[in-house]
Amino acid sequence: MELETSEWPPSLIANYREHRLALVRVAALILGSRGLAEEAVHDAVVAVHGRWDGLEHPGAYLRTAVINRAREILRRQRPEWPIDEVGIELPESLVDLYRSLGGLPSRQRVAVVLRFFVDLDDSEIAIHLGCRPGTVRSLISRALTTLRKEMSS
Amino acid sequence: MTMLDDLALRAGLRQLAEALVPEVSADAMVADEPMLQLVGATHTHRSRNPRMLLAASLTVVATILVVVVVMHYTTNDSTTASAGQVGRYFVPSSLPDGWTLLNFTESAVDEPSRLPESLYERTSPPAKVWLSGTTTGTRPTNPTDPSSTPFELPLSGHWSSFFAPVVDDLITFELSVAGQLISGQAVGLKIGELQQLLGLANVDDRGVPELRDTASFALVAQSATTEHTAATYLATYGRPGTSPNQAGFLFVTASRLEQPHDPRLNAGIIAKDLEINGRQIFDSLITQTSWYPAPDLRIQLSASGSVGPNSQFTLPDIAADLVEIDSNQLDSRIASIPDATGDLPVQATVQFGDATATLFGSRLDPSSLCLSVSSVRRCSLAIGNVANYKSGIAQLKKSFLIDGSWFIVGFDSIEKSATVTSDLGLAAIETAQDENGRTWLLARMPAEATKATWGSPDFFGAIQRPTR
Repeated sequence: MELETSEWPPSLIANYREHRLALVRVAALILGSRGLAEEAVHDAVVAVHGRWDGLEHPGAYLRTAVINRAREILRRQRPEWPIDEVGIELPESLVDLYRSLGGLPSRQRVAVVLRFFVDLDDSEIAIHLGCRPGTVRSLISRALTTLRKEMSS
Repeated sequence: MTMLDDLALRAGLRQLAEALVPEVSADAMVADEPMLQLVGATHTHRSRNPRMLLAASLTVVATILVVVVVMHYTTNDSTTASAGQVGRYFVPSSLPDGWTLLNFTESAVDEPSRLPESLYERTSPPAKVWLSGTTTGTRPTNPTDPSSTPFELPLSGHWSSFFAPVVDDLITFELSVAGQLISGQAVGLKIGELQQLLGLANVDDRGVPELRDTASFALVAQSATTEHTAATYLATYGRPGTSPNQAGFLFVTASRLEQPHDPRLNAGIIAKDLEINGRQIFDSLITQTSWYPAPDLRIQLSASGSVGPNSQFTLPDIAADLVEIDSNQLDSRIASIPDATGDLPVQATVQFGDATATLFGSRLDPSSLCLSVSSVRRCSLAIGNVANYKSGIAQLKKSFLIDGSWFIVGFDSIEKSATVTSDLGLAAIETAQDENGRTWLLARMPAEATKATWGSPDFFGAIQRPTR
């Protein structure tokens, strides 16, 4: 017996298809790897499918699940950013950013991605990180200092 | 991008994201394949890149000479929480010189097998060993059976939670070695046993995968008696010109542990309905892992020492000395364990009426979560969770039985949306903040409840009522 496609909420499938690219990109910036990002999104989608229909804001819920899963991967696997593998595929202008982003502590990196890529405000990021908004500001400030230093050098 | 202002950073991140995940390929993947083929007992065409995960694992294994010994045993079939029956336990009858049993936690996931966790410590040279259990299908893992939802599969010695334990299963370890907490993975297998599996692996219709590199095989553990071996095998298959991140790539690792009939297969692409010797391999709903639904329980013993000639001397000794004890013996043994973690730094304390939860430990030391109710304190091993707590990462959930009352306590990243439901209905949840501003939850379970499920955006778990 297999899991039938019909068992999945159509709106989840639609949401996934509409937002999958964005979700994978968010996770990729956090994890540094498209492969791991795919994994994070996959796991998140599977995680939310059982409760999808009862969600008030399913899109945000799925995004949260993806971010949480990406952070879980960071914690569990502590993946190295595969600069040797990815770097050769990147435009030269982005290699430094990739390397610098990957060098940030994971919480700072997540905060930067949520602020400057996902465009969340401090309070929203704080919810994701389980900290106070002031902590978010500190994380981002430190991250930007590091990034500027790394990029300028 | 020499001047990194906000706008430049936004633009840079956007460009980087687009470069990492090009739109064309991502859309093509969606168009090529319905999402739901990612999961369930269907094969997937997508590489989910476990390569990095495993490569990191192997690096860790090679570096710290991780020893993995898997012990196999079966448990009572009808363990029930209410009767207080227990399965069979294997714990060391004695420990090598210098080793102490530091903490012991019986997992709350106790159907039908008991899955204890324990932590051993050696002071000099410093090393710690975390022993945990996992199951490889204590019941048929048919994902569509309503009574066997993926969130309830007893997959590890933790909660049967969605993310971590399934990822953990047989391979993840968490060790504190020489003052450094190490997480990693080790997969055991034997290459000679893999050929049949690999021969049955159907790859996608875009081409038969080709072996891209030389399969590697390494023995990572062997017990003193040579009866228990574990090794790592890694092979990648794919069409010429493809990369591990591309669809059509088959990445295979397989476990060949102690039992010849219970290998474990991980694959980026998993064939549908793999069957070996008449035994079905299921593709788990929630990972790319495949399982043999064998009615057995595996205990994984992981350990490490500092890198050097003395790195692998103790674990085989421990494993070889495992003996079976009964429930009473286990109770006695647990009672004799010094509350060593209670002397560790307090990281957080939170009050729920008459109940107090305290998280002990540090990033470099074993951690413990204790719950005190009316001056009765129970503690649970919570290795690694202090680091999570400090970093703000979800999640910690522990279950306690105190004077016949069942409590679930922990923190989560999105606490307010968490729910705890028992078999007798929704449990009352109390929330409180600790001194660090972190919100904790305490669920007081109904008196006769025997089972609970926990749900939050990033954590799902099913848990049985503790028996002690």
